[in-house]
Amino acid sequence: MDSQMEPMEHGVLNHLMALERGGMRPQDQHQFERLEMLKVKALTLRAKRDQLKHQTDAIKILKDKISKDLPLQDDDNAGGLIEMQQSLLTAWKMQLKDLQRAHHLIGGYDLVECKEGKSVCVAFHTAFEGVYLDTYNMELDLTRTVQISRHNIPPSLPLESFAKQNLQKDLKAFLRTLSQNLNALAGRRQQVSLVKELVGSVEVMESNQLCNILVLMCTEQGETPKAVLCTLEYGDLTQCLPTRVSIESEDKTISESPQWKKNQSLLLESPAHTALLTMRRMGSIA
Amino acid sequence: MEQKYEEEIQMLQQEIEMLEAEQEETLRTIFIKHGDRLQEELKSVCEERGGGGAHKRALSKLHTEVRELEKDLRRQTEINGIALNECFVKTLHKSERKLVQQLRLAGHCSVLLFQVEFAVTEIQEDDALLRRVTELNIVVDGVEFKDFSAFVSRMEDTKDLLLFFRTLRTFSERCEERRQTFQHFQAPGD
Repeated sequence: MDSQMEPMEHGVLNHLMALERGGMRPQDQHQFERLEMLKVKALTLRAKRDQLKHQTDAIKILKDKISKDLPLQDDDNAGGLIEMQQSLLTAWKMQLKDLQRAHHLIGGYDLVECKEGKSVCVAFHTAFEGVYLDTYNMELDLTRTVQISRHNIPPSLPLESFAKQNLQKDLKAFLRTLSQNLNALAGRRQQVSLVKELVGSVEVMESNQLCNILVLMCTEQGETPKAVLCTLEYGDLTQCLPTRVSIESEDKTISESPQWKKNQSLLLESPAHTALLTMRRMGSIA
Repeated sequence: MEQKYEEEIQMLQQEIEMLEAEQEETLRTIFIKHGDRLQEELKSVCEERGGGGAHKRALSKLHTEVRELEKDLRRQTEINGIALNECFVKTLHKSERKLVQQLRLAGHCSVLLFQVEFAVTEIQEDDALLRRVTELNIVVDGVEFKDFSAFVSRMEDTKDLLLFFRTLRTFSERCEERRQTFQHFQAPGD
C-alpha cells in the first residue's frame, strides 16, 4: 500500500498525525482525514488528466505534421523534440505489443526464456470452432540436452513417446506434434460438452479421458420410439473426427436403413454435435 | 463537501480513461500509416542528445523496452514459423469485463502469403477468461490446390483460426520438402 502513495499523500498523512497528537475529537478526525484524502486524490488525478491532455494534443500535432509530410524536428523547440521521440517510441512499442498479441491469438507458443536462457517456457493454446479452450504449459531445460522439467500435459497423452521421437533433434516438430494432439483432444472433449449442452435428447453413454471413444444413445422418431446406439471410434488422435462409426439397434431394419447409412456418414464427416443437430432437424432422431 | 470531491474524482477518472484510449488510437494510426518512415526518423533523431536527465532516462527506458520487444518478436516469429508483416488492431469495445477487437494481419509462412481478418471477443468471468473468434476472413497466396480453397472456406465457416495456422505451417513445410526433393532429383543443367 505504501509504495502506491504519491509524495503529496505522505505529506498529508504526516500532517494528520500531527493533528491527532494535537487532540481532535475522533469523529471530526475521521471526517477530516477522509476529506483530506479525497482532496489529495482529486489533485493528483487532475494533474494526471492535464498531463495526458497535453500529451494527447502533442501527439495529434505530430500526426498532423506526419500526414502533411512536414519535418518532425522543431529546431527552436528542444523540449518538443524529446516529447516527439517519446511519442514515436511509445507508438512503436504499442505496435510491437499488438504483434505479440497477434502471435498469441493465432495460437503461437508464446516462448519465454527463463533462468537466463537455461530454460524456456512454452504454451500450447487449444481451440475448437473458434472457441478458445484450455492452455497447457511446459518448461524445457536446455542446459545439456533438451529435457522437459515441468508440464501440465494430460497424462492420457503419450508425452514420453513424443519426446523420444523428436525432442532432441527437432524441437519444432515436437511442439507441433504436441499442439496437434492437444488441440484434437480439446476438440473431441468440446464436442462431448456440446452434445450434452445442445442435444439433450441424446445420451452420452460412454466417453473417456482421451475422448477416443464416444457412445451415444439416440431415440429414433417413429410410432414407437426405438433406441439406436452410435459408437464413434477415433483411431487418429490428431483428428477431431472419428475413423469408424457403428450403428446398432434392437430393430435391425433401422440400423440397415438408408436413412441411417446417411446418418453414419454424417457422423463420420462432421463434428458429433453438428451431425446430431442435423439428424434431429431432419426428423431422424428425437 | 465529500460528495463534491467524489463526483469530481469519478469524472476525472472517466476523462483519463478516455484520453488514454484516444492516445492509443492516435498512436496506432500514426504507426500503421507511417511506421516505416518513423523508424527512419527515430534512428537519426536518437543520435542526438538533448533534454534533462529525467527525460533522457525515460527515453532510454523506452528504447530498452522497444529493443526487448523486438527481440521477443523475433523469437516468436522463429518458433511459430509465422512472420507477421502487418498488424492492425481496432478495439471496438472495452469495458471491465468485455473486450471486442478486430484484427487484420498480413504475413507469410515460408513462401505462402496470407491475409487474415478476424474479430475476437473476450469476456472475463469470475474465474476464467472466455475468448472466441466471431468473424474470420482468410486469403492465401501461393497455393494452387483446389482442396486448399475448400479447406480455407471451411475454416472461415467454423472460425477455426488456430487450425488454419497449424495447417498452413504443416502444408508449407510439406511444400518445402517437396521442392527440396524435386531439386534433388533434377539433373544438373536442367
